[in-house]
Amino acid sequence: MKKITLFCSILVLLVPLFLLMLPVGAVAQNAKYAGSDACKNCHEDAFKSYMGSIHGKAYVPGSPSKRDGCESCHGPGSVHVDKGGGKEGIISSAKQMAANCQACHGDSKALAFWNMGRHKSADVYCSDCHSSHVATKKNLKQPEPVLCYTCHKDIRSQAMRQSHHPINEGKVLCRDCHSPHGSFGKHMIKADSNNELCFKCHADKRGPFLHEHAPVEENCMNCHYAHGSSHNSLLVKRPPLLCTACHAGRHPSTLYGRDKMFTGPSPDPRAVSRSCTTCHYNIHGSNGAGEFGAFFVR
Amino acid sequence: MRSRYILICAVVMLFLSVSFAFSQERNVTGEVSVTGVLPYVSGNEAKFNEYRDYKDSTVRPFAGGYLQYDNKKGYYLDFSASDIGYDTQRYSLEGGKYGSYKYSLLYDEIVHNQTWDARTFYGAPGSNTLDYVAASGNRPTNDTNNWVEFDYKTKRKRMDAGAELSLMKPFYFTVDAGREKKEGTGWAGISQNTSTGAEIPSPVDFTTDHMTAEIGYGKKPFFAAFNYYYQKFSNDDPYLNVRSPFPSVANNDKTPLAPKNDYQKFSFAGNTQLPWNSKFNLKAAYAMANSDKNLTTSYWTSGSSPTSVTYNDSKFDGSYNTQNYAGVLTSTPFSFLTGKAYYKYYKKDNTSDHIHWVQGGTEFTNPLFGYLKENYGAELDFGIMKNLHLIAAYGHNYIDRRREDIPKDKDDVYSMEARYKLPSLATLKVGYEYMVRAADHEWVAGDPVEEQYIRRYDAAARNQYGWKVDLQLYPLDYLNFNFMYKYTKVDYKDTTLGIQNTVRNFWGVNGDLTYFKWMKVYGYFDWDKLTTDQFQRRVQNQNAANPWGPIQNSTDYNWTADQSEKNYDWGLGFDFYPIPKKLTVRLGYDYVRSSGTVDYNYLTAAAIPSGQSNDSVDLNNVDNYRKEAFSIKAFYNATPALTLMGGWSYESYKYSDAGYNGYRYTLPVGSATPSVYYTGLYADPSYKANVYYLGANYKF
Repeated sequence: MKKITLFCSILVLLVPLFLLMLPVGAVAQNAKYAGSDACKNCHEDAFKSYMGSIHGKAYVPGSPSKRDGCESCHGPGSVHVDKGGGKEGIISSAKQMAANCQACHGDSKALAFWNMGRHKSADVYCSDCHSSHVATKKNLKQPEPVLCYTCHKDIRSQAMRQSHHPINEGKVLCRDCHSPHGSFGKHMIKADSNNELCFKCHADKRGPFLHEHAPVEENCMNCHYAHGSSHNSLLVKRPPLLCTACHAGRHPSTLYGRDKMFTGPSPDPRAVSRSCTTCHYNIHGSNGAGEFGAFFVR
Repeated sequence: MRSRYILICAVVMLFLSVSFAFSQERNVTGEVSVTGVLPYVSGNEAKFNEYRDYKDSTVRPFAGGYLQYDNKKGYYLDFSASDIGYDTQRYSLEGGKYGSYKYSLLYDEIVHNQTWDARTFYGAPGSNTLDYVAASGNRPTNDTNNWVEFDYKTKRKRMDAGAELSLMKPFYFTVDAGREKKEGTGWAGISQNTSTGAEIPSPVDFTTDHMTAEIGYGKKPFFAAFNYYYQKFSNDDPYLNVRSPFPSVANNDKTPLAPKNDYQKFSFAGNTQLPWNSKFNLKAAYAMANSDKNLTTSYWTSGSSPTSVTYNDSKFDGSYNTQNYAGVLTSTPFSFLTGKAYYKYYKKDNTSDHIHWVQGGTEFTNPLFGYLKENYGAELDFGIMKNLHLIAAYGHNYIDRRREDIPKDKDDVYSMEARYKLPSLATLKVGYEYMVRAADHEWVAGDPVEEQYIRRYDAAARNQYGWKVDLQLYPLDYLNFNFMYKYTKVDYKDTTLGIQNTVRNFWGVNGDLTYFKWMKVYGYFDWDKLTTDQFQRRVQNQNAANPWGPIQNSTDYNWTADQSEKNYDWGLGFDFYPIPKKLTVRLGYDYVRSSGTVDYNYLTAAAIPSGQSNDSVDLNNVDNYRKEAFSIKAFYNATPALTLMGGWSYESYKYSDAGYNGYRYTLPVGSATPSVYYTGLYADPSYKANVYYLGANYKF
């Protein structure tokens, strides 16, 4: 009796669970294709914008306009037309449209690793960034980086800081470093490690060097922000405190307070201007002679 | 200048003539624009122009546009140009046949202006030989007003060509090659001992060539791609010959600059579809890097002869290789369940030369740094009810380094996220992440005693917690609102000397509203606060290295630094359409503010400098700045093709930093034999600017 009660309880819980999982706006089973002209009657602006985009060009191989036009993405719309509109009877949800995008673009190399990307696991769908109704490059709804900033507000804030990669100036695009459709790299970077990515533009830092600086060799992000910083050279912290965090001894870990600034009674070169890197300028690695090379002052 | 105007006119004429030639066929569309920019800048023009090429009090025409050709049979060609003739110019040509092939050509310039009108006592700043006319003994003149002026500025010129062949679908082939030249003046340093140094200009003359080729296959259920990447870096100035002002005699101190190197990488990436809506992804890569350098065998200190260094080999051959393997399995066996499991292996093996040298009777050998990183983990996304998902994940990282202090790290990362999505209305995400890092610390007899107590933050043991809330509202087609909050705290639990903890709070908001047909409002606000606590010890006497030992005096003392860095920015924009489709007025305002403070405390009274206190040594302006930008522009569509634009913008950047305020070019101030020389790099970057715009845009 107890087992029957338990079984019935589970059934009672599971049935509504399955019912709740039915997708919204599912196309009715008996829907037929109404034709793009039917869509145009009510959605003239959307039809015009679609025809102006690459998806509206019939001469492009695999183009939806050679198949069912609007209904290639939005599904057969006869029920939607008969009802006089509404979200029922037509594919309008981002999730369902993403499945339609995948049907054509899923084999492309751009989407090959979409399944493992952070955007997919965060439920970012194709229509969050792309639209078939714009004639922009890659059908993006907005240009980079503005598009990416709508979600990545912390990155927007960093890119506006005084020391920054020229992202807002349009010279470094988000997709120069990141693959928004998924990749093996952490944060979807287009490389297997941070350093490998950075060296593509900063190959002068690659070395290998006779005298290496271990945290530099392991990860540029140990000392730098990628997008922007309040501190010069995109540093995570202002020297000397950045360097003092790892190096003790005599002059590395002396306290360099206000009294040691240019305006203080005892200005000290380790406190002012570029601080430690005034002398230790070869901080990414050095081939300099002997002890001086080992301390990155040559 | 003249050639720039000729180039601008030629390109504009090209755009217009192509448009007229093909106007009947309507196969060509595009637009061409010319905007005259007239800035009036007071203050630091380099910072104003950091990534720009404007000129104070000078009208410069910035022209650009695009051409799109489509023969409506599958062939297309897109050409775009911007900032023609200036340091920020860019040209791009892309074309091909849909579904068969495509090609691209790119030329792009990126200028980076850092400081103009820097000054130095050297005669040829930016060259690879720095010499000066001595004023007294070996010393240059201290009259900084007569030093030579120069600019810290670099410019990159990038040329790229690529092609992709997809005629034999599902196979494809891509190839890309390019060259980037980076030229200009950067910075270096010369130092003779722990109390002398000079900031010096350094030549930048880099060439970076790259080539990449990929062949792949993409058709369900398989995808596979083989990729080869090659990069070669060369430096036309591998050494900087510097006459140092600190030795007692004229000298030539040859210091090495960035060595040439080359890099190759072979990689495979692919995946295969599996039953139960699953996919297995695999990547394998092997890369090699090499460099070589003839070693310099001496350097000057402050004496009358250089210090010589004798190596077992005068040429250093540097090399390393990396291996990377990764497997990721994703699966959605049921509509309410998605899972991911992964394993990644990355190893960097340093196979450079071991170079031995003797100095002061002690033999040295360069340590070779390499490391191994392994991480694995899993993630489960469970749709517990309609529109509500719970995501749980675990990840483990293992790092093994060839490094003496902390050779090994083990991280365990746990995270949970709840995501509620109401279609066409809102999305709410709440997430939590906890990471614990265990770190081996090693110290052997003979190492500096203070190393027992130092824990370097990049590898030190830690507990890390983070919260994130993300709300997106999109209830109406014309209304969007996003809010994000992030909190992260890191406790470096085993650290005695070094960073103790950091806390970061970030708030971000943005929204836009399109109201009727005559106005659009958009805005954003971000606030970010980072606090860091450090505990440090000055150690002069190795016997006094123990922070909790009995020796606490003016040369061996503990101190703390509590740092706070606040950044916030906000902006508002209005687009008005007083005459819809005819006249648009755009107003914009952006405000960025940063303020940093350091609360220093000597924990030993004897260490406080004479005349100072724990309050007087604090810093209340660490990279403080305020940047405002206001603009108003009007766009008038004179005809469907022709748009006229006029506008004005105001920018103000005010910077204050304790380390740069009251800047001096020599220290000690007024000394006949300074121990430090500066050039003005990054000094006083504040500026104000009024910029006027007038332009036209023609569409065809």
